[in-house]
Amino acid sequence: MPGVGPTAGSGASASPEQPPLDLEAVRARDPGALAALFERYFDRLYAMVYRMLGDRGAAEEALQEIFLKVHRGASSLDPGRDPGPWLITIAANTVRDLWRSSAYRFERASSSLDADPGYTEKLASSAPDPEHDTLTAERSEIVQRAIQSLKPSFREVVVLREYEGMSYDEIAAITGENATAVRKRYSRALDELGRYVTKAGL
Amino acid sequence: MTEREPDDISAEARRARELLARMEAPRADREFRARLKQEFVAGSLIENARAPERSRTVGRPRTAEPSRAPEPSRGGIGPVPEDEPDLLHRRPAPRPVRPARPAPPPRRLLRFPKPTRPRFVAVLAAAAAIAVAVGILGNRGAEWKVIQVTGTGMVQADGEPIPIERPDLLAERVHPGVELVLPATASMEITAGSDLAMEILPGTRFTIPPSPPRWFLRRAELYARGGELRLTTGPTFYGAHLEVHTPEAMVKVNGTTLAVIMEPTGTCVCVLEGEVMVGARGEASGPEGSGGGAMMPIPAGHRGYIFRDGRTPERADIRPEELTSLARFRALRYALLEEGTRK
Repeated sequence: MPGVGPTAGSGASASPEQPPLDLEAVRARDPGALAALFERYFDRLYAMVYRMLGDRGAAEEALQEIFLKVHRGASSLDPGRDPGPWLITIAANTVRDLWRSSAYRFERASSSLDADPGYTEKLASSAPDPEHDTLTAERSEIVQRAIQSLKPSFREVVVLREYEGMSYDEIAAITGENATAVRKRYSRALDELGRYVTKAGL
Repeated sequence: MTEREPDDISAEARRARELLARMEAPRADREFRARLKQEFVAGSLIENARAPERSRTVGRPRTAEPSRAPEPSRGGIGPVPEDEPDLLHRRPAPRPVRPARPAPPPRRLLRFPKPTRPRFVAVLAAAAAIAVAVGILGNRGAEWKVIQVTGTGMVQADGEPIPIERPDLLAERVHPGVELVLPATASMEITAGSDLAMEILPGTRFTIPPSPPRWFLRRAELYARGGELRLTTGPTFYGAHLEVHTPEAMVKVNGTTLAVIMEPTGTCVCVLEGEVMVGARGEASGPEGSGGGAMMPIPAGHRGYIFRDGRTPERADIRPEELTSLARFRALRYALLEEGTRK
């Protein structure tokens, strides 16, 4: 499994600590079941969406859209299957819709790294510290910026692969491409990320 | 997972992966999370979140009162009164006071409507229609021009007499589909761009053909009932086809200089250069006429004769007087056609 896998609060199937979800009740839009589904997946979806969009406001808007779709499509949920991939697919499609929107592109263009000319120097001054397991806030921001520097299609693959632990086939099913194309894209995205973080001195 | 990783991962890329792995998961704003959960569980997200766009794109909301005005909340999720037991029947006003914590600046992404499939199809159809229209209009062949008239008398254009001395009036009537009848005392020459030049001799009766289209379906038909026509093709005729129909014969022209002489006993086709195919056809001369008999090749310097009485077509040497006339016509008019190409 590449990367770190699903983030906190996630889990495609019930872990020993988490009771199984009553998906039939979710289908019936039972408030308790919906609340449990939300608790189980919200953090995972939020992390995924935030990493793809790189903006808290946009992520929140996307999450509203995602959970609206989940609520609306609850009756189509297959109770015999893990709802994780279903939710991730909804989230990925929603983010892709947002990327395609003109307003999003406009905002991205106006808030690029170029807008802060001193930022690169600031990045370069951050010395790497391999002793820490997790990155400092500043360095996390640098990595997040690196992710944002990728083309959306690259970013999507990296996030799904590194953080959702999805296989190339699973990603391909979401993006509508073949697995080989996804693998190549992932490889190129890693190269671009590598160049970015090297330039930033990480 | 059994699938392989990219083989040629660089040290930089490996470092990037390490950094990605060490990133902490971003956390949502707790207040936002709580509100979203509340509305998701209650099913009121549908009404709160950007109701106008939703109603356009996903149809009617499933829950709650349709008459309730949407709250002008940040990003569509407004704070929910804690003392409200039934979220589906909340009062629309007054709006609860926001918490003291300063909220992030409102983010209103202007969402343009996504192109729907019917709209896409409509745009595609319109574009295709425009392309077809441009193609059809642009494909039209060159217009015919009168370049010389000689003699006296009246030319009949679709039955309307026009003095041959008035080439300006004549030029107005020289269009595809118009039947011209020349008197026995006059002749004229017309050209279509640099495709074709035609000399119409006295006493000829024929229908002006369309000139061959420019790009595709480069085929034209000429119907003649009597007299004599001399034809020579220009540089841009290459790839086009002209069929000349007389009462007895059908002549297929691909690029050549020839004369079609309609006589009382039959049609004589004299070929100065290139090669044409000649065959007998039905009695009727017109679009409804159908070809009959096998086609016979007539090479340069020869003539083919299709008899009206149905005898076997003959092939012989070109008539000497026609050889001279065709050579002169060719020499004069090909230069004109070439000049048209250079313009």
